[in-house]
Amino acid sequence: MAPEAASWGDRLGRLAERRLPALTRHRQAEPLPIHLHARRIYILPTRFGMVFGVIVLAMLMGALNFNNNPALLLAFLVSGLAIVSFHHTVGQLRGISLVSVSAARPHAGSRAHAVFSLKEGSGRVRPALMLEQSGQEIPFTLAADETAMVAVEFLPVRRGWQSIGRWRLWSEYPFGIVWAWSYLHPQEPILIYPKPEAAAPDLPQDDRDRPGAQQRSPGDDWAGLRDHRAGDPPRHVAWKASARSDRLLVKEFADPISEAMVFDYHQLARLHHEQRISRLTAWVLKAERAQASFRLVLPTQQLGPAAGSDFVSRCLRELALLP
Amino acid sequence: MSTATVSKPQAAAAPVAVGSLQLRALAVVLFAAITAHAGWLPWTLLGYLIAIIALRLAWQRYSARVPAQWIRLPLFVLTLALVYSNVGSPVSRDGGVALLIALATLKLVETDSVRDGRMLIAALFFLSMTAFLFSQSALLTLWVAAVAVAAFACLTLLRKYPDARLLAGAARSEVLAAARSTARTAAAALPLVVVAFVFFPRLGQPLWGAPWDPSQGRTGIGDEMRPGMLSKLWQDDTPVFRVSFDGETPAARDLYWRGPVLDRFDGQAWTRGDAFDRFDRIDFRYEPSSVVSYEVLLEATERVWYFPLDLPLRAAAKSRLLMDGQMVTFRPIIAPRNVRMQSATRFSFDANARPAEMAFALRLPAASNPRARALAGGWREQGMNDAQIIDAALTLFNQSFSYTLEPPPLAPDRSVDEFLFDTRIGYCEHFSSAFTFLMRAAGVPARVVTGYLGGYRNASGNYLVVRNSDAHAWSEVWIAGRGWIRVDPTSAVAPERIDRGSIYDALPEAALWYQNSWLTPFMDRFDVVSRWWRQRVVDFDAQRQRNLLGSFGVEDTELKDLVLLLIISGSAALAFGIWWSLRGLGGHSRDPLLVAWRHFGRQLERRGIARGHHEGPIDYSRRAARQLPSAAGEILQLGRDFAQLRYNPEHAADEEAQRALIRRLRRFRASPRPAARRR
Repeated sequence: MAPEAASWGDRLGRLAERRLPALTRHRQAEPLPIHLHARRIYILPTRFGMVFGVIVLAMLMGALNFNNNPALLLAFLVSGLAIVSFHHTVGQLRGISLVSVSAARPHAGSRAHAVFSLKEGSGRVRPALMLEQSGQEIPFTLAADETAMVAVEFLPVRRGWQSIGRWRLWSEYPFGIVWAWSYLHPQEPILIYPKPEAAAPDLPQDDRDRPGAQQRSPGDDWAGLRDHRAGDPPRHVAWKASARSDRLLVKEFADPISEAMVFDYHQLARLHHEQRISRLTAWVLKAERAQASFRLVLPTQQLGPAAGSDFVSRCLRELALLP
Repeated sequence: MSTATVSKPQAAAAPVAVGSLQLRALAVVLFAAITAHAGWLPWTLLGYLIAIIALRLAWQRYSARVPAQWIRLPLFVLTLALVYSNVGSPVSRDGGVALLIALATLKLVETDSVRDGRMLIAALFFLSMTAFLFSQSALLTLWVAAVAVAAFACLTLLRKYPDARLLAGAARSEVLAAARSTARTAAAALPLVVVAFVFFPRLGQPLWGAPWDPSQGRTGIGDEMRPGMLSKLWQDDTPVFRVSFDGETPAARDLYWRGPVLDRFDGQAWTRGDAFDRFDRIDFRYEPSSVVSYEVLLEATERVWYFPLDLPLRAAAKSRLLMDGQMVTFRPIIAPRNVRMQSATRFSFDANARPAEMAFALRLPAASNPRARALAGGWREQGMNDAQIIDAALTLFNQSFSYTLEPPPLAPDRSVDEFLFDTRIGYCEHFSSAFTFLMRAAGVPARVVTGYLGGYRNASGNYLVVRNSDAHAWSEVWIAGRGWIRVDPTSAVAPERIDRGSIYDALPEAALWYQNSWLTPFMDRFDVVSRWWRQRVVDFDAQRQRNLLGSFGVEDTELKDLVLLLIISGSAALAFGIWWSLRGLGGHSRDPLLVAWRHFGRQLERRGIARGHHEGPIDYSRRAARQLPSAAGEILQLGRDFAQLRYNPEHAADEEAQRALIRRLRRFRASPRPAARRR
């Protein structure tokens, strides 16, 4: 019964979205931040809620019929508590905003985590929220006036700009009698990096002038200080210099061009387009792990030579966006 | 959409298992719901059900799975058998409710999923309500309301998708939080409840009849009296009715509340005869100066008698007055009633009847109690007239009999003989039974009247409470030309019982431990509350609802006005409740990790690094680390760890790590005074 009903419901939903854009606008992609206001929060009884409703109705009828006033008081207390709680269930979602969705280097073909930044701005705790998409359900609690980072798992299939899709934020807190939901469908796409080749060959060694030099030790060719950036290894932090200024500083090292490896798209002629991208991606990641500097040669442009996570990210981005 | 489906987690497909915390909460709520029935449920059954609940909890410690079918099935059969043998057929009220309770308890035994737990709670709401079929007291209502709120709190715990903290078993704080928020929601719903109670239109007539057969009844005065029946009642201090007099309260010795009149004796018990003629055909004259008007607030006795003051002038509402002066209702009194009555305390009753009409009041079974029969026959043979015979019997009682609350048992078929010649000690029923027997044996028409005597004057409320313990039996004899005359043989033995009113005042040894003690004033006040509850809440009906706006000059509130009032004031009450409770949900969380994190934030604030609303923990700690390089490592580490524990579901359940981080956050000091200097 369930699959039949689901497919009918889905079909109806899709039809409605095509035909009734005004009604279904809150299901469609929209720019961030998405602010959940009362008009875009939907509410329906749960299955338990229907049983509960039948029982409360029976209580009311029985108490009224026998004019049993304490019983009537109880029936009113139970239904009154439920009615107030409906507003709490809607209030669970109202006032939450989706500030951003980000993903840390999602590669096509492997599980990645996207992080939803959900902000609570009305000073209320929101327990037992659920972020859900096609069977994946992440329960979380949003503390008052905090921004929660909710990590969801997804499996990107292609490289390039991609939407995270439509997610449903719902809750049946506190009593499970009704559930309220709203859709989060951010327009902003996420950049999916290419899939790295699984068993990529070693980094190309032949282009290097001085084999073994990629293991650079701190202190060599010291070039200057710059501000700390995310991903800088802690041993590069210039503690003494930082202590003198009020910023965190890191030491920067000069990198002679001659030392860099070259990852060249054109040299991989035996492979076809996507395979080359895949291999180059694998090399870039390997080079990053080895903290080596490299040059990336693509059909459209040349990058580097350089090293560090910023540079790697830029390379991956260009690889992802290759036609 | 490009993101592919991740395999469905089990939670969505299989029923969500119930944790031990939730099961314990369910057990507590079930237990509380059953205690609402403790007043009437037989002790064996009550004990058995509580034992089952305890065993279910013990089982949970042993195994997370529910007991196997081969345990549950015999348990089911055993429970049903116990219900049937202890309470009776499930078609009756008692049997039906007991069956519901038993089934709910068995449901707990097989509860292993959140869905089961929720169904159990839904059933508990109904089950708690059935307690009001047995009692409608203010205390019970309070208790059941508390049970309902606890049931809702339990629903809060029965989340289908609990967050990490609930799964990790942060039991105490979760239960407290659920209780606190549910209590708040209940308080928010209260105005709505009151408005709905007052304005929700009541039915003038029930749509269908009473769902039970009240013949089983509860303890109290009935249509039969045999030795030992009334004396069982003296420990029962349940109020039967409360009376407020319009004027002066009559003297205690006039406070005879007339109940069933018993004029048949079968050798063992006195029962009602068939004197079903109407009272107004009887010759009845009274002294107008002795007429008293009063209002009786009668509890649900489940029987058919009103207890008017001896003797009523006319039938009160919903009743008829029989020729022997009993006031009988048309249907058993299953809900408390408020009745106005008028009685005269000085009267002549059936004075012009012919002696032949009194033959029914002389009948005795042929062979019963020969010694008593001989004694009374002797009086008549000595040539005594009716009045002298009455005197002789009373003198006999006065000289050699005594009154006791715990009479020795008597042989049922020769109870009068045994009482008169052997034990000579008894309760009012023994005296009236023996006296009436002697009178009949001597040829004086006589009958037994049962009812209540006196009552307890509630000093705080200026009304009289008559309890089951005030049950009394006396006699009436008929003398040609004078009619029926009340003779209370107990007065010959224990006059203080008649003069003092309440049995507890007359016989201090009859008082239960809490009576006549320093508690009395509190008990009095509590009874005032109970009476208010009876009058204002329990008795509120369609009639009173129509008169609701009487003080505003509206004589008759119509249905459409009621609905309008309900909608307007209900919306206002609901709006207020929602506003108030949502406001209350705010404030700071009591999660210790968050509290510690705020402490950390305050420390940094002292150095002028306040957290912006847009900033997550990582960004904030980076900025702080840049501005406070001396503590940069520690700050960065704390920010990373907090984000990890707070937002990564895999780590959120790690309580050990949480505690460690809380300690580190609390120890953090941003002031320039480093820990090293103190060493």
